Amino acid sequence: MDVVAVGLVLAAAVAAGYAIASPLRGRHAEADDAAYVAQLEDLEAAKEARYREIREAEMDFRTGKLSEPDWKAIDRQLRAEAVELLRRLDALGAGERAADAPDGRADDRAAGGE
Amino acid sequence: MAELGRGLLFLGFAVAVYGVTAGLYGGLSGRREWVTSARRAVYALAALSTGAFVVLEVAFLRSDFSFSVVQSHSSTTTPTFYKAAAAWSSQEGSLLLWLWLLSMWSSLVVFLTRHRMRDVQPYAIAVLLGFATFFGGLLVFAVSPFDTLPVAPAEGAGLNPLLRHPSMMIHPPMLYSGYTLWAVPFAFAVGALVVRRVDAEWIGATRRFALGAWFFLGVGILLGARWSYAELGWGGYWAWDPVENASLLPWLTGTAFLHSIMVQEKRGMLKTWNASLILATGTLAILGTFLVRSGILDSIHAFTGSSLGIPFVILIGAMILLSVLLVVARRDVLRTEHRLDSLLSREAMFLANNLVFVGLAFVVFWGTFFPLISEAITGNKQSLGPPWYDKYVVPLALALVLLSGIGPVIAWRRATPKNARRNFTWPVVAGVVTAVVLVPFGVAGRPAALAMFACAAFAIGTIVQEFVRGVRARRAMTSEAIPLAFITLIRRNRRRYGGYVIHFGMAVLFIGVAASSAFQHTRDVQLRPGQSARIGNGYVVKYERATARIDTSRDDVERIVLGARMQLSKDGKVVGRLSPSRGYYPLSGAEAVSPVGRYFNGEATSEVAMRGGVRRDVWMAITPDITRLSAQVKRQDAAVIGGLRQLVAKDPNIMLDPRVRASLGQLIGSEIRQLTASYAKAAPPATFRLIVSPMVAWIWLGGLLVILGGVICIWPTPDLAHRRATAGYAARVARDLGRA
Repeated sequence: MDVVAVGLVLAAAVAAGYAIASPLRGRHAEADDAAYVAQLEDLEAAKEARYREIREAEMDFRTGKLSEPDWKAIDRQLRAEAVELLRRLDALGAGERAADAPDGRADDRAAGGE
Repeated sequence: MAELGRGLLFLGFAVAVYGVTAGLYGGLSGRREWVTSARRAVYALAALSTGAFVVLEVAFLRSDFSFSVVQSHSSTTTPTFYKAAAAWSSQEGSLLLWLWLLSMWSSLVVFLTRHRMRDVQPYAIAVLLGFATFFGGLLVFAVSPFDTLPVAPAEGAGLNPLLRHPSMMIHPPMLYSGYTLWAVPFAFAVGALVVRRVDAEWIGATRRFALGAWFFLGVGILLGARWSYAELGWGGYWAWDPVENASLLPWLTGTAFLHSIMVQEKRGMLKTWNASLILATGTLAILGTFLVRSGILDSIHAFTGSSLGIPFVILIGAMILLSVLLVVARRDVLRTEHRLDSLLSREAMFLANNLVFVGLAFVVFWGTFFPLISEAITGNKQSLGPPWYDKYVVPLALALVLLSGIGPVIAWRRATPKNARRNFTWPVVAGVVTAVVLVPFGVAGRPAALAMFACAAFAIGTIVQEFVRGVRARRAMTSEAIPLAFITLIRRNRRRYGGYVIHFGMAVLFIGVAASSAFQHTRDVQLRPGQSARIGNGYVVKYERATARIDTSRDDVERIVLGARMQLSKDGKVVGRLSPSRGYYPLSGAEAVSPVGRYFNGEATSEVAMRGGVRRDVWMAITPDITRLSAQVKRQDAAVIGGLRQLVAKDPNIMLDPRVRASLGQLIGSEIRQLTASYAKAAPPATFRLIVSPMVAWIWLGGLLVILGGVICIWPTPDLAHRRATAGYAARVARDLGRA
């Protein structure tokens, strides 16, 4: 039996075990407000999608794929949808919740994440 | 060394099993610490499988023949470049490569999405680690790359000579990257369906991985085609081989997915279709891996004598069952948000394009599995050849190229006749003019090729028009110079313009395929030195003289190369000289029976000679008639064996003397030199395959453009949200410091 190999495998096992188990040690994080986070992420994704569509509709108009009246109608509708999404985001208090956790990292830290 | 590899693999398997459990528990209980622990299991698996893979690579590079897999797939004479690649020429090594790539991509995706989709992530991690458990289980319990031999032999069997091509160094890792990357959107789709979050966010989070899978699989397919053209000696780049088809299937459905997710992101439509497509693509990626390993279909690429068929059938069955159950159970949340406004809209074109892609995938699937279907029904295994595929693939490919031209210029929701006129006039003119111009050149005799040229010209016309208009719009907004406006246009709209570059490349590629398929001249002729043959397009080749050489590696004969010096003329003028050859590799283990003849009884590969160009390739391969050498080989074998017997009779241990072994090697070397010299001096007739194939280079050029477009699409965009947040915090710091 190769003693060095066995030693290396044991060392790898200890390192992997430590890394995997460390989030489970120490203080237990409280369960996330998963529904809140999910709703927030849905709204953010929808908002980004509307912004992207607004930009693309303008590009379509400028490259001749949309007539001006069509573009204006689509643009109006998309902006109205974006405003509604922003209202819902504000109502959800996204700003306050995110202030303490830029990019949502605080939650992960609490869970022992990276 | 082998114990280290085995230990790391077992640890990796255990970590994967734990990660599946922790992920599922974390997801079901909502306890984040378990999800974080599962995520760390993914990272740990990546580290452990990297360690195992490094151990195997080191064994190959050191020619450590105590490893069974190294002994059977490498040798001391295998060039170092190919020793590194030999690891994945074996069943065991390729499975380890699969596991390693899967663990690396899984680590990357769980790292990049660690702050997103927290409810989906536990299940996605469980699925990814579920795949790792399957492959890790195979490696630990069924086909270990770390099995050792009781006594390490002095020499290995060597790498299959057909695999000694630079493409083979990167072709399998590319294909496997593609296959393993499809597991990422598959896993997130499963997670999204489990937690009922079937909006566009899971698509956004994994879109780049789906693009990466498409990209790598596409590069792998292209490299495989190039290898087939340059190495296999039959003169083609695509043979509808089951294993080639297996890589094409997920690529086709994956391409459909990449198009249709745009409709979901923009209009909230096709949710059921997209979920089904990615689940099917993930399953087809595993099916592709299964086809290579099971040996159920005859293919030059398959691993023979494999016993892994049943575990793969179980996995594929489980994936299909899970997919169907999830889609049916979530049909209420998969309902579309909008209806199709008009058949003249981009979403309608995307839908049509998806139907064509899925139609193509069905044709390829049916053709690939027809031998099994026919055997099940009639008892006879019947294969479908290229003419059958052409009958269905050609019209579908035409529709695809046409749609790739229409899609980019038609408006979302509804296109008006006025817009249509404005956008399609010039591209239609380009298509019609191309067709009209080509008719006098005899292209009309091949209507499918003519239609492809016209459709491709139309598609290229729309894309060029899009770039011109985009640059104009940009200049109108910013007054940038044309080159800067062009670059900025692409940089700011990578997804759109990268996609256009891909469409452009595909149109170029299809032009090459149509031209080379329809207007190829092929001749198989037998020539003696001094004789000539006419091919086509005014080309004549003359067999000037035979050539022969011995390639050595580490003072040992690696192979014998017999070839020809050919003079190429066009319209009576000499335009070049080409030297096709065929390499003969020694049969391992036959040293005592046939010390000279074994060099002609092993594997043989064609070294194709080619004069390539944008307009046409002149391609030739030679098959020397080595049966004419057999009498001489037999005499030489008898002489060497006779001499050897006399020596051993005098002293039974004489072969243990390294000086005697060296002398024997020199004797065999001298016999082989005599053989090659006599072949070069008075060569028997050789059989040549001579091909003039127009525009094959366009296939590779188109492929390179597709790769460029893929890189543009995948290239990460600056993280604007993060930048904004950073800028906001910087301003706050400045404000706070100002107050102080």
